Amino acid sequence: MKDNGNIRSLLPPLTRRSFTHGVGRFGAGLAAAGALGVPALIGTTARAAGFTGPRSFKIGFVAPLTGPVAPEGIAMQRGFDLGIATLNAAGGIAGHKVDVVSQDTQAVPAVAGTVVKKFIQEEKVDMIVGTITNDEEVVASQLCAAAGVPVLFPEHGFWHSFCNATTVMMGENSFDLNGPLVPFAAEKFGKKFFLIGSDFSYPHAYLTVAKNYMKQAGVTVLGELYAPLGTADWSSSIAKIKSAKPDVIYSCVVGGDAIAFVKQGASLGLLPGTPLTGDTLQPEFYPALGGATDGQYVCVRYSEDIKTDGNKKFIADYKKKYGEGPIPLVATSAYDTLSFVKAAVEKAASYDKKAVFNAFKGLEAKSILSDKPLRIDPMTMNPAYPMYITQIQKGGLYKIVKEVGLVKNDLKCEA
Amino acid sequence: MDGLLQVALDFVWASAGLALVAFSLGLILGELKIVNVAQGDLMMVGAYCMYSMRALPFALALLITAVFGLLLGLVLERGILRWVYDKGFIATLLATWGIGIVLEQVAAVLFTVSQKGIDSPLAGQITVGALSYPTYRLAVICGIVLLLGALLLLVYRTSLGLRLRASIDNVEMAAVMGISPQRTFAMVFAVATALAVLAGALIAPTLAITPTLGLSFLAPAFFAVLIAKPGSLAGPVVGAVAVELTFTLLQARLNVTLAESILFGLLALFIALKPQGISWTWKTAGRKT
Repeated sequence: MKDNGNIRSLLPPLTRRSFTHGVGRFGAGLAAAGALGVPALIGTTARAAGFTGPRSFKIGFVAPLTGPVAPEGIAMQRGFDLGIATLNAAGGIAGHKVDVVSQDTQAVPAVAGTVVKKFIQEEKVDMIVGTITNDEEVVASQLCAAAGVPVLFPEHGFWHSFCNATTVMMGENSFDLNGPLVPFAAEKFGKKFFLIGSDFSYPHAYLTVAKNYMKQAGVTVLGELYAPLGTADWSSSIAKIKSAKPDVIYSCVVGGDAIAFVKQGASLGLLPGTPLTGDTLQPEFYPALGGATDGQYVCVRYSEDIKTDGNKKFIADYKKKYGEGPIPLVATSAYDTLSFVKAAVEKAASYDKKAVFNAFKGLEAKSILSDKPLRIDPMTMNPAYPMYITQIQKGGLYKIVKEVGLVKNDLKCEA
Repeated sequence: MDGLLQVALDFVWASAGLALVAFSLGLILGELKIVNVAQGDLMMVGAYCMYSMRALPFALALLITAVFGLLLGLVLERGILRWVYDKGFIATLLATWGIGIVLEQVAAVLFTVSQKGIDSPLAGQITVGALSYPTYRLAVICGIVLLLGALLLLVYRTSLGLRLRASIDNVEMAAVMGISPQRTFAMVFAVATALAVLAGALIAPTLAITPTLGLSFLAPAFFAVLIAKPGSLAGPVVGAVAVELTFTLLQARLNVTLAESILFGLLALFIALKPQGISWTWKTAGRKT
């Protein structure tokens, strides 16, 4: 991690997933779940857990429900809705039910700005939670900082530009994702990598961080390709990768393009013969891939194979409400974010916005991800997540094959 | 050598799909004189049809999809477009734009916006020399070549084709000669819609099915039409091959983003310098009636 300082500015300026908005409805099963106790969302290590608020706690939820990142937006909404329902069924925050106002941002920064301003000025929200794309988050972060309203980005890992007095970055960062994966893949498959990604800022930043780890692991990069978002035909890129004969394809092709890339790679004989890893193989893509990724390895923050009580409950509730199939990662992060919100407000023992934001610094909260509390690093305002190397099983389970634990980095917000 | 063969086959694959879409666009632009910006969304409809019928045999699903495309085209033409023909270019453009938006939203409501996929009906590979190439791609290439060949024969070697070309050349004069514009418009739009829907159905096994699936095909298809001689029905097919050949050559040395930028730049420049499109001698003598 010697080069962190040099590449910090390249940390993910765009998130790879998106959210949707919406107010959750209580399901009958969820009420029962609340009565029985839901470890993650009820549990808190906050010092002032006995604090009772003056009124309902109000969250403004913003997400792109329509537009190019709507799949991720809707998945985020589902996780958030379920989290709110579970939280309220378990008694809410500070003894009060949590109220939510929500609205679609269409993945348009100007719309996101209008919605956030409306939530702050008219709805008088205590906090903003959402959205997906970096452009929207920049707007939301700036508006919230100016208004002194805490804002949480469930899917955004540390990014230096979001270091301000109100933003909390709840996602895993590119160091978490690449740090364990690069040496694992190099050791298991060989040290000749071919890099490929979608051509926008997040994949470039992700692969820049990855290359730093590759250098440390003695990996030779045979080639690096990028293709515009919306690329339908990957034949030429696949031909170039095949001719390079890499040991590993390290990919940050995202969204629907990832499905096209994998399907065409399989039909053209590139996969599964050559290991494919990176940030391309999201669990929610599995049903569309027809088993083309069975056996591949990826590094993740969340897997349905995490055997905590909170995760078992979450999986059961999620599938009961939304049906079977892999749970999108963005849904898990939106759900888990609410554990931290509850813990922060109760630790602050106040709805005061500054006090609540400060309570996030060094906050420890229970999560569906671990039996041990997770901690928000006060230097980055980003939780430190235990990471896992997983292998994709037939049927879509990301089976944990290696528990990596917390990934060290020397990131920090600087003045 | 294998690499060259693979590039050549990839080029033919890409050209075949684009040619089908461009031919359908050219039909609509030539006969109805409207720019159908919903063509990509019609491809999306075809892909979702195949997803909906993924439990059926692929060929049967394809047949049902094509028939559905014909009916959809008839409904759209009779229900919407015929009311705006005389309102001018902008009105028809907006009408097709609106149709596209509605189709996308309907797909999002019916299937959600999450990515869907279907399996290829022919999972194996055929060995060509030392190269193995997907059987499905080769089958689709053959199918499209046969289909386009049959359509071009229909257009240039039958009385029906002659009537169509007469209507394209001068709709008023054709009407005087007893060729009903309304009937021709409806038939052309229905066939063109079915072709776009069919194109979407055929590529569905190779990519993610989403409400915006067809949008990336729209720009190259329009360029394929625009570089051809206006009104020519074989022209868009040749245009599609020219577009894909240029793109393939550019991609051989450049990354996809740069290749795409240069491609569209070159095409725009070509159209600016030669707005009448590529012209060549083509025997258009239809059967005398």
